[in-house]
Amino acid sequence: MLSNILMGFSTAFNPMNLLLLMGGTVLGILFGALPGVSSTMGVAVLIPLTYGMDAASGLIMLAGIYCGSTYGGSISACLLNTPGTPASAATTMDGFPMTRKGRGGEALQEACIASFWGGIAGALALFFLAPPIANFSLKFGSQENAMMAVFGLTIIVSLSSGSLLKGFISGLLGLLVSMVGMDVATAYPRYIFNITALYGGIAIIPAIVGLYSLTQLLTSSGEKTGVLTDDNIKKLHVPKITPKDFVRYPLTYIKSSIIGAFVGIVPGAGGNIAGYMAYNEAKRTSKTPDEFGKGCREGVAATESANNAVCGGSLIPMLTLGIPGNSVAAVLMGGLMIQGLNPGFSLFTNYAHVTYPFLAGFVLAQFAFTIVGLIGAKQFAQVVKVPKGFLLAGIGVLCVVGSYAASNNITDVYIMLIFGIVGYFLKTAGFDISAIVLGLMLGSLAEAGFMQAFNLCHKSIGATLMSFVTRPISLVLLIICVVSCFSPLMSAHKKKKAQS
Amino acid sequence: MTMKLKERVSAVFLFLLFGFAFIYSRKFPDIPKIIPTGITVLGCILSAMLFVRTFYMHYKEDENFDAAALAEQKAATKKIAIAILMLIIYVGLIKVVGFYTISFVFMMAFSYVIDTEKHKLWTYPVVAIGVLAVIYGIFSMFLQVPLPKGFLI
Repeated sequence: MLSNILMGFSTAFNPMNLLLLMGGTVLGILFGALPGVSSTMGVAVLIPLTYGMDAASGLIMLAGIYCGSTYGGSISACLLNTPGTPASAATTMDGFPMTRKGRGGEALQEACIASFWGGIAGALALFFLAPPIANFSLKFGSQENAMMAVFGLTIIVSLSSGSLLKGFISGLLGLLVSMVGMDVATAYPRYIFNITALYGGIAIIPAIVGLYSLTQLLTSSGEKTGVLTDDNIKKLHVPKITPKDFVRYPLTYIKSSIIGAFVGIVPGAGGNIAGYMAYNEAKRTSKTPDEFGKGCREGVAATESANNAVCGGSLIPMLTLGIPGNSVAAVLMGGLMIQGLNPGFSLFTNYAHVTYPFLAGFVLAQFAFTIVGLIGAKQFAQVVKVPKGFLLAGIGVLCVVGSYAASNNITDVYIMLIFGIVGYFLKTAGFDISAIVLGLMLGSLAEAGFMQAFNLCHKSIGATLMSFVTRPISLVLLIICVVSCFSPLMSAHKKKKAQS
Repeated sequence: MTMKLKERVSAVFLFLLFGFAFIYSRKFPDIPKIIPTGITVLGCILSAMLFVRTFYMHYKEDENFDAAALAEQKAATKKIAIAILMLIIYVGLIKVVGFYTISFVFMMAFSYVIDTEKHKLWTYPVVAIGVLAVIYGIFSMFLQVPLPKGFLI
């Protein structure tokens, strides 16, 4: 493992890769800082940049985009009280009051430093937890693989905070879309309507770009232009940084990072949840809890360490078991697949020459956004002033480029457009887009597992179903699925009961 | 449109979609139709449940849906409808006209229509050329990714 880590760093330190990492980080910060442009949308739109690159370089750039955009979300959260990404929602609680007190520069500085520590903790978790989990996945047979995909689908329950019914329907819609193309068992073409391009199924990247980016573009098109005062940006003064600033709240950094990394590992829980959890914990143990919510620097430190630690944590289930921890990880999984890589143990053995540079790039990305963020905080803050029309038009063009360039096929652009428009209408009716994406990504995996098990059990449905409960790992996974499905329902029921 | 109505319309749409997919799957051979059948049947049942639910569920979102909200929604819907139409025309003409030419026209028109505050007219072509120059530099020159050509570039 040590030799792989060293190899990873030596590849990541290649000047071209460092340049790509830096470029990705800067683009990520810009996208993250733009309110309404989430990390997911940023990564989805920027994935096409990696098509022409070799796998390691492309993934290193994606690491920069992911980490940069997560940090970038704190800029508008602190300056405009509008989180650039959902993960930065908790940062507004103290970041914006700091800005109103004329301490906006200090808030940005703290956000950057805390993001660095959180990111490093997430990267360490990724380095040391991912390989053993991937190793364990070797014990999986077809039943276990199917159950892992089903477990991934149970995340829909936690995602569907608004309506469970709509969450399930969204998931089923994703599963139905994943059925398009040749059947995994017999290669029979399903739902292709004589369109040759659909034989291979619905391409994931165009679907994701449509569902996340085009849907967001249409939503923003209808919104009134936010009245964003740029007074805060004009008056922004970033103080000189001292070494002491890096270790101002060591305990808060550690605690929040641990919370963030673990929340990241749990599929379905995202940076926003981690931010609020870490904030509460920091407030609970602080010597000055009354200061929280009124412009407390430690509050920014807690939320930002946590939401950046989520980045590393969320990649663990994605790289090892093929379950994306959050929507950005789902998009990154699409980026991996475009490079011909499939999650699992082989990533850490056969494809170690790609995976470890990516992990090393992930560590270096923390340094990259810290350097760029500390030097250019004031300049990045200007990005929020980009007129909405220009921004959305540019994103529209990038959506087209992104979906076309994946396989040089115009059908993919039509798919992106259809998914974007349908996704928009479903989103306005309260359906969850992430549940559709999960269904789409995990559908074929679940079907392949079930069909393999079905064939192994001599094509008997009864024997196939029995095989899921007679195999120990499969049974444990089944129990986890049931718990994962019912625990949010139980807690929601308890909450409702307590309220009434 | 109230949330209740949105939900009702989407429930009908999804029921029809899952229903169509179910009927279509009848012609598949036995093994390939196992999972699509399960998904579509469940999809039809849940969509029907959603439709029925709209008749007795109380929608908090609709409590403040007054004339002002309706007017605001109408204005937003108009803009979104224009945005969708522009996107459809843009995507439809890429292969005919060529990516760069149609993207230039799309960028100018889209940013002009969508932006609420109007800028000087010369900024629209300048920004469009700037963005497309960056895309050309990155995709066509650096990454060598071919973009669709029509009778123009």
